[in-house]
Parts: sequence; structure tokens; C-alpha cells
Amino acid sequence: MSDIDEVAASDLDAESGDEVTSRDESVAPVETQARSVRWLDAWGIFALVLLVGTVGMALLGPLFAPEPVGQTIGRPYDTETGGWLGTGAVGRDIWSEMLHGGRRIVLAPVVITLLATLVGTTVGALMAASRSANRVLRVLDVVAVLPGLLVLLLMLYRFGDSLVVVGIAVVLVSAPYIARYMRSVAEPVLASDYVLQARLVGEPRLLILWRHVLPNLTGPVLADAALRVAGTVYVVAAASFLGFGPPPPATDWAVMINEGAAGATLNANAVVAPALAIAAFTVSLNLLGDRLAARWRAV
Amino acid sequence: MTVSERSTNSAVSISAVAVPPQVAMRVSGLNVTARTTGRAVLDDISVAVSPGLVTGIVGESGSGKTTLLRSLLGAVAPGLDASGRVELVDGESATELLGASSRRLRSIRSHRIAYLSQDPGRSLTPTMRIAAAIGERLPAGLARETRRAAVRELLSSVGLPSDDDFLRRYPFALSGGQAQRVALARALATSPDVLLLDEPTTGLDVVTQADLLDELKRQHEATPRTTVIVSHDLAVIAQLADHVVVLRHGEVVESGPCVETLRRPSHLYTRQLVELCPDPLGPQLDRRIGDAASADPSDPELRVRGLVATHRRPRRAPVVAADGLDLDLHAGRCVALVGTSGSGKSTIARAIVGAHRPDSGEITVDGTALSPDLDGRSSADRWRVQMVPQDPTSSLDPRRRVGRAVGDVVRRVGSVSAGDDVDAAVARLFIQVDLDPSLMERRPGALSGGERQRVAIARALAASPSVLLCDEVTSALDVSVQADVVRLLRTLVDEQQLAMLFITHDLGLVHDIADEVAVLHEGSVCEIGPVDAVARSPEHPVTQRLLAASPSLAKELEHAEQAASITP
Repeated sequence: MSDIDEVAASDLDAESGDEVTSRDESVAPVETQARSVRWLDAWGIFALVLLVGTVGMALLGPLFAPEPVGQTIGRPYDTETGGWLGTGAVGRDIWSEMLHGGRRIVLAPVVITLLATLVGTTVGALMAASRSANRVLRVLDVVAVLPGLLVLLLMLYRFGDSLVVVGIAVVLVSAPYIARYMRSVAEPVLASDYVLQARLVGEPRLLILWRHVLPNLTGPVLADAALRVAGTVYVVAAASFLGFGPPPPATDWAVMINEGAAGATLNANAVVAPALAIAAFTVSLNLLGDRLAARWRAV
Repeated sequence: MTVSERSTNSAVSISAVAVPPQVAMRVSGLNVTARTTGRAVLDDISVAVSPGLVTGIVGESGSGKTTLLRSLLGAVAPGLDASGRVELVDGESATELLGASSRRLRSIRSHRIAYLSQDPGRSLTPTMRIAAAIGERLPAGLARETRRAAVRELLSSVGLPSDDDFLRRYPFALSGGQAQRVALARALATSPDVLLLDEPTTGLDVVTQADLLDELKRQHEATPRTTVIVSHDLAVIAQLADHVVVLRHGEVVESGPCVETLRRPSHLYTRQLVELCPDPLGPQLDRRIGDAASADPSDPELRVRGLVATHRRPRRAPVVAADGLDLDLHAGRCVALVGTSGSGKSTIARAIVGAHRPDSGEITVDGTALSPDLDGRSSADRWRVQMVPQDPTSSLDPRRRVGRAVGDVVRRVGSVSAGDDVDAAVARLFIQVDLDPSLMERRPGALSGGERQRVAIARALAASPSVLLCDEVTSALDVSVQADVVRLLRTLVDEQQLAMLFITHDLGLVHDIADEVAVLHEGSVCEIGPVDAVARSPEHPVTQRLLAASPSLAKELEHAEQAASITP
């Protein structure tokens, strides 16, 4: 190995975050490095590009859309008129609709999942640390058995169809699962020797949760949240698909699928384009979630 | 006459009855490098594994000994690249294992090379009964009764009961020694040509270890089989191996006939390993220790009276860790608590610090009684008794920089004097435990095992305790690091007048650190006294058994020498 190679190798060593100084543990860090590199493999990069693409399209799309929202430009389901994707249900330009209709599908699930994760993780960590956790758990179990879609539809009927209601319903339905999961992940951390050491010097319970337990839950929380955003996308999309979508003429990808289905044989783009966009977003989240989980396990 | 000749002779004399043909293995020019960094894990290794003999591979952690052993299976860990040759040599024909197809490797691993891993608890599938675990290794298509009989035979050949009740057991109902024997029976079920043993006794306590080593010796004498054993413990290697290979940083430092090499090591590193090997019967190195053993007028710093503590386990009988245990610790003195593993030593330490609620008993520190429950103790009470747990990997928060971990304690205890900042106090603690303060910014994952354990000690000291409980603190460390940590702890006892309880299963360490040794048996102290006196003339049978089972390199080499001189 030449001198230059050696320098490069040692640089790599420093950058990969495993500052291995002593040589007497070479085996374990080697494996850690192998794993920490693996998380951005070809699929990881693919997922990242896909995610940035769909999120960028959803957030910035409305600025670049050739036609305003709800603008009819020609015959329905026509591949000749309109942008490169042709026209959809009421003769609207599919490409413009795609650019307008992403915000709700991309942004709402992220915000809703953040809320659900915040609530679920807090409850889960507190349950792990408290002695009366079992009673809370029973209540959560009751909530958890309610079918998600049913709760969503009932709440939409009762409180009106708005995104806020969808959000509350999703938080209500998914928080118990998150809490249960976080409780089971937090328990071994709480039983660990370093938490015992913290107790031996008199650190209060809440400080232990904040200082030692939550940081060590970051990996599972991130991995779970990434997968959960994908799940929430489908809930929001399902609500839109079932008619609880944005008020017309506003649209989103799920509404487009619903409307486009009727003319799918005339212009398949009306269904395929929004379906692909939703799939790209959720699949990239799933792929990244898996990789995040692997990476945090390895550290 | 050299050892190898002796063993070859015995092999020849038995080979008339022995079944397996003599198969050797040959490693030549083996290089293993980490793919991402290009660092060499093994550097141009050439080793000849002689047929029918036991080859021992010795090295500290990171020496590449496990990587070498796995390469004999044709296995390379993910992230590593291997080049060179690893061959299975059967008479004239040689089979290359590196880069062989996975189908071929599977067939070789299931019929010809057997591997026994370090942790018996994890090598057995937890949902499989013993009969099934061993039976699945037998050839397919056997009749049910034949298979049962074969399993029974295998079990009794490794010294285990073979009744129906035992066959129906699950791995969780086995002791560590039994589990390792079952794993051995599994490995032998296919009557492999080559047996690879990866630290087979490391997870076991001394008595069980001695039993298993005897078993392995007996097996080998009955059926000489080409065997490779990896261990960090020279005393283990000396008991079994004919040849020894000493590895360091991925290079072969020295190799040769076992006894010769260990008696007269030609390389400095081998000599160091031999000298550092803990020996229960060796002389006490540090004369200061044990001087004040007899005179003891002061009141004890920690007094434990009538401690009863049970460790309940799901679906198994509870372990009675302490059953009326009495113990006194004095300032500036160290008591070693010795007992077999699973005897509940850790539970005793946890009961004293309040992490495990005892059933009854009284714990007083400097005359004040402590609440049995940690939540019932004031912060000041907690600070007086600190503990250093066994495994520094799990006792340090992986996400917290070690300087901050120690700083947390400094800040909480308020052991910082006015006009002094926390960082300076932490740096002083680091220096006190021989750690470079520049390591404060690291996370535990970026420290070596020895460094982590020093951080754990520094954190315990940050609370300014008067009593320090050390629970098997050296069991996860290499011998060279182990010696340093033991020296450090003794210095702390002397300089800070700590009252220390040093829990260990390794009698070899005891006289380097402790003034007194207390032997634990069935929950109470069966023998206590100055270390030298107990080591020289143990009174209780348990102590005698522990001493006899303790691996001692000097003893083994002497035996081997005697045996060699008797053999014509």
C-alpha cells in the first residue's frame, strides 16, 4: 500500500465517526463501520433522491404549475391537449394538478406523524418509568382495538371534514401503538447499568428519562416515524379518496386517483401519475426508515 | 522428548480404534482486511494445523484470533476481505475453503468441520428441546428409536444425563456448563474431522471450566481429532494444546510446541503474556497488601448483617444469592468475594447499593442504617456506596460523551470546590484513573474496553464514596489491561482509604488486590481470612475445590513436564 493510500485510509477512518484509537478492539469497530456505510447504499441513495424529488414537487410545485387550480383547458381524458401528461376528469391539465395536489399528501402526514410520535413517545417513556403503568396500558389497549378507518370516518361525520379532524383521529389511533412500542424499547434502557449508575447518584426519574432514555430511543423513534408517515399518507389519501378531501376545485393526488379512475382507459396518466407519486413518497420513506433503523442499531 | 512426539505416539497407539481419519488444515498467506479502511485484521498468516493434535491460538482481543478461527470454516465476517489459502488437507487431496461455493461450504461445515462457539446459551436455539437440537445433526432418515439412542449415546459421551426428562429439556433449563456440553455433543454428532473451539470455557466459572476442560481432554484422548482452540487464557491453552500460536495485532508472534514455547518464550510479548497470567498459587506481588490484615481495631465502614436476597427468575427456581450473609468492609481495605458464577454475587452487590430489594437484613454505612430500597435512601446516603458494574459496555450511556457522564455526577454531588469548574474536576478524576483527559469528548463506543472501565471507575469516584463495590470489573478485559486496572483499584484503596468489595470468580486476581478473601457458598460466607493463608491452606471444601479448579499456568506446565519425563 502506498503512502497516499495510507493517508486516505486513515482519513476515512476519522470521517466515519469511529475514532478507533486503541488497536485492541479492531474487530468490533470494523463491523460497525461496515454497517454505517451500508445505510447509504444504492437503494438508500435512490430513496433519498426519490424523497427529495417528491417533497420538492409537492412543496414548490404550485409555483411552477402552468395552469391555475381547477382550470379546464380541453376535453376530458385527452392525451393530446394539456401538458405532457394530457388532461384528466374535467379536462384539467394533469401535470398542473400533480404540482398543485402534493402539499396535502406530503405535508399533512409529516405533521400528523410528528404529533403522534411526540404524544406516543412521551406516554410510552413515562409508562416505562412509572409503577402504575399497567392501568394506563389497559386504557391504551381499548383505544388500540378501535379500527382506525372507522374512528376516522365517525369523527369526520361528527366534527366535519377538515384536515385537523383527520390529524386528531390519526394521532388518537396511532399514539397507543407508538406508546406501547416505546415502552417496550425504553424498558431495557431503564434496566441498564448506566441508568442504575444514574440512580445511585440520585438523579431524579424525569431527568433520567430525559438524559439517558430518550436519546437512546432516537433510533427506534426515527425508524418508526418514517414508516408511520407512509402509513399516514394512506390514511389521508383514503379520506380524500372517500370524499373527505379538499373542497373543490382544490385537489390532491388521492382525489385525482378517484376522479381519474373513471377514464383510466382513455388516459391512464390520470390514475398512474398520482398513484406513482404517492408510491414514490411512501416507498422512499420505507426504504430510508429501514436504513435509519439499521444505522442506529449499529451505533 | 518434545510434546508433539509424545502426543503423536499416543495418537498412534489409539488410532487402531479411532474412527476419524487424520485430517489437517493449512493456512498460508492469509490476509484479511477491513473493506472500508483497508486496515489489516490478519496480516500474512501461515499456520499448519497438524492432524490429530490440538492447536491453540492465543491472543488478546483484537488480535484477530476469532477471525482466524472463522476463516478455518471458510467464513469471513461482513465488511472484511480475505485473500490467501485456507485448506482442508486429507491425505493427498486438499480442499480450498476461501471463496468456495456456499453449497460446498455448507456440506463441509455440516460433515467435516464442527465449530463450538463461546456462548453456549446463544448457540442453542431456545425453542428446541435437547433431543431435537442434537438429533437434527444426525444423518437424515434414521428411525426414531435409532435417533433417540444415538442422542443418548452422544449425551453420555459428554458426561450428561441421557434420561427422557433431560432429553425433553429446553436450553433455558440448563446450566452454563450443561449447555456448553450439549453444544459439544451437537458438534460431535456428525463425527467431524476437525473441531474448532472458540473460547469454549470463557463464559463458565472456574469449577465448571475445569470440568469441561477435563471432558475435552478425555474426548481427545478417546478419539484424537484435529482440534483448534482459541483462548485468551494461557492456562486453558496449556491444558489442552500440543501446539500454540501466539497472535498479536493480526500477526503470528510466535508458534511452536505448547509447553516449550510457554516455558521458554522467545518473543517479548509471549513472555509478557506468561508473566501476566493470573496465578492463584503465585506469590503476593505487592507486599503492602495484607500487612494490616490481622490488626483491625476500627469500626467497619460497611456492615452487612443477616442479608437475605433472592433473585427470582421466570419459570425457574429462584437463586438464593444471600442467605444470612454477614460482611464487614473497613476503610483502606479490600475484601475479595469469591464464588462460582450463578451463585448470586452480583445480586449481593446490587442489594448493598439498593438496586435489589433484599428479603431481610441490615446494611449500615459508618454506623447509619441504609434503607433497603434505593428510593428510600437520601442522595447523600447513595453517594457513600458506589458500584462499578461488570461490563463497561452496558454501564456507560452509549449516547453520552464520557466526560459529560462523569461531569453529571460531579455536578450533582457538588464535589466541585468554589472557583473550580466541572471540566477541571472531571479532568482530575480522569488523571486519577490514568486516563488521558483528552478522551473526555469521546463516546464510549470510541474507547477500548480498559478505557471504558476506567471511565466507569472515575464516575463512581466522582460521587466521593467511602465504599466501592467492584463487580467482576476485570472479567471483560484482556490480561494486560486487567493487571493495570487491578493495580489502579488497589492504589485507590490505599490512597483514598476506600472500603472495597472486589467480587470475582477468578482466584488468580485476588492476591494482587485484596487483603482478605471471603468465599461465598450457598448464600453465606463459608470461609474468610487473609489471602495468603486461605490460598495456602484452604479449610472449607468449597474453597479447596475452587483452588483446585483455578487454572494455573505454572501448575499446568509442571504437570506437562512431569508427564513428559515419565513417558519413555
